[in-house]
Amino acid sequence: MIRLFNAGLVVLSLIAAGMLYNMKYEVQSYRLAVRKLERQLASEREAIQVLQAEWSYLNRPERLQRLAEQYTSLRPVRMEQIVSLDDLPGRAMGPIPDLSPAMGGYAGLGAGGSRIQ
Amino acid sequence: MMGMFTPKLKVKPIRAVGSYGAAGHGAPVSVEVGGPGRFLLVISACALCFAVIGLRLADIALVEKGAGNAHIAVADSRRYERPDLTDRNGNILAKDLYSPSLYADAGQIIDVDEVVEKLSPILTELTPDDLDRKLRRKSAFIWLKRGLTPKQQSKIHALGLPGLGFVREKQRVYPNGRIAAHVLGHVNIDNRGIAGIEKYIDRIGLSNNKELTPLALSIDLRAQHVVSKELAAALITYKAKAATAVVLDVHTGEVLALSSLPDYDPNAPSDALKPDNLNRMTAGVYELGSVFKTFTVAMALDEGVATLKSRYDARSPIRKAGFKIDDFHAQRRVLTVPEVFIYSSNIGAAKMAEASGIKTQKAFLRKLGLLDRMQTELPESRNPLYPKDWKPLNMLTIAFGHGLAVSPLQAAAAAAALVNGGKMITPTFLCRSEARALFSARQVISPETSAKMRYLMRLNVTKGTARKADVPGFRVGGKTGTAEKPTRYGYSKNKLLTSFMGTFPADAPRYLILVMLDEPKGIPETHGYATSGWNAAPVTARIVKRIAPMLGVLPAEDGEQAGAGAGTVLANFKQHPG
Repeated sequence: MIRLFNAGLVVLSLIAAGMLYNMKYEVQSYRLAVRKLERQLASEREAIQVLQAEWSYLNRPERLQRLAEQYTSLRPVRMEQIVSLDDLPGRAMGPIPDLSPAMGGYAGLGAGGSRIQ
Repeated sequence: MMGMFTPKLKVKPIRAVGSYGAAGHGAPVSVEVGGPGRFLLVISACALCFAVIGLRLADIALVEKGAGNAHIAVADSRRYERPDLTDRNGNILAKDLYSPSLYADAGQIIDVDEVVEKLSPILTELTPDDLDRKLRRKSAFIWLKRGLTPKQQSKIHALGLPGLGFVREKQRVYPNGRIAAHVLGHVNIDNRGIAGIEKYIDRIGLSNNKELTPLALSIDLRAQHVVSKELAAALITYKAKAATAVVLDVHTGEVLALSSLPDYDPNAPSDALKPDNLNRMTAGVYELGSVFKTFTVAMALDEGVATLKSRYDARSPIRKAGFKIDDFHAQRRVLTVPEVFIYSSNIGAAKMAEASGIKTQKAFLRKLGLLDRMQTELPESRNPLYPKDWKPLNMLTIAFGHGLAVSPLQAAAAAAALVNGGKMITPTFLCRSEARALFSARQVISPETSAKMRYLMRLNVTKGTARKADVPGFRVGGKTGTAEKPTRYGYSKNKLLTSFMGTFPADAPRYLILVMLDEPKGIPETHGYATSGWNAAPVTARIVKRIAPMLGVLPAEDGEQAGAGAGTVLANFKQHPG
């Protein structure tokens, strides 16, 4: 009886050892994966830093101004282009008028702007 | 797993011991009585031993000890780690990036000549002689080059020479280049701050610790750009030697833009030490001339020595101690206080100071912080220069800005107090709320006097010497100053220092701007004039025109444009001066 019990224990311990062995290697591979991810994270973080620096380098006001002058018609804001809410005409009553593109334009050319010009 | 075998293997010998003991005593019964106690003791001792061994095995098997990256950590910590610096809107002004540095281990190098020959075409910054000298030092660690480019690194790596190694080091990068160089300062080869805000953050311990949270400065990158560019343009237009300008928030003391030309690129700070590249705004002291009349008039009004209706006889020059004090824009008549201010009358200002007295003048200037070194975050600062023995003649000349040299930032801070309702606030280069600024503010003049100063400064732009500083809609107010530069042989007639100290919008000031040009020349566009009204004032106007919309200043009805004159401007003030 005791012999059988001991044999059972031996078998159990062998199984446990086997499982432990497996688990250990599994953990080890997970650990490697974690380390790899950590390295990846670190290098991604570093890349973000580099890209941030690059972004602010490309967004230098100096460069933006040069590019804006070269490729766009954007210029520094003129005072006439700023109007307050009170300068806006009241909302139209009745049916909503057809807003054709011809009605668009600079604020400075509207009723508020002409006051100053 | 050893533990599993314990009962089976160990039980038998223990029983044997037990039976020997029993045999020794000659009483078999004692096996039953005395045995179990000893038996249990021995078995538990053995079990304990095996448990310890088992646990240790489990420990070794399960818990992996890190091999340790000790040497990498050491190599990495050679340099300071610094927090990012951003402007008030979060744009990056300074950043730490990793870059490889090259070192050599002399013991492992086989052939120095070969190394020199192969390295010198890659490390073009070093001469072969330099390289040779470095490598012949018998040391296990020799820096060859700090901060390699990725290209250099890959080329050197490809050489495969023994004895060479790379260390990754943090290196400071300033993506905006020279734009705010004098505020940011720069770092040395070990990434330690040696000037400007960089030095400040080392001093207060914000660098080289675990949490490197980005530090937001009060600078507005857009305004800073405009100020730098307009100043650089002015340097060329007026053929000036140097120039400096600052934009201050009058309610918080925050510096939104500070530029001093000539400047340098903090990415290559070797130029920073040239004496000509100093930060003129904080580390230079100058006799600013007529802008000081603003302080004199404020003093006379606040001390009750004068009202806006007081009159001063400016018909003839003052002669004192062998000196003659005369007016540049001479009117030769009796002037009221506003007239003294807008015609920039030296005689009038001198007489106002005379009426106040030396003691009052000194106390007032000290109250405005003009007689002591101004302490901001920037380590670069200088003591004001003034006569130890403050004689009556000094009193008269200091009234119009000669004989007292202060840093321009100091003057700007004092002027901000004159227009913001009378609160003296020390400027800062870090973000600060109005509430926090008020906490440390001192009331130096009454709100009523401040309202009068705003009126006078606006009047000077609409009617006086500073007409070219006007920007329609943004209501600039201010005072011009043209000072003859002191030389070894007295004041020079043709070396001028011109300045403009302005505020906008003048009816409810939010910003103070001070522009100073060093030795501007007369040009055809200014009809040969080199005085402040012809250079510093229009430069100010150009800056205000561009930054006021950025800073959210709304254009408003302007009395002058409606043709109503200064009376309308005056009516806009809540407190009616006079």
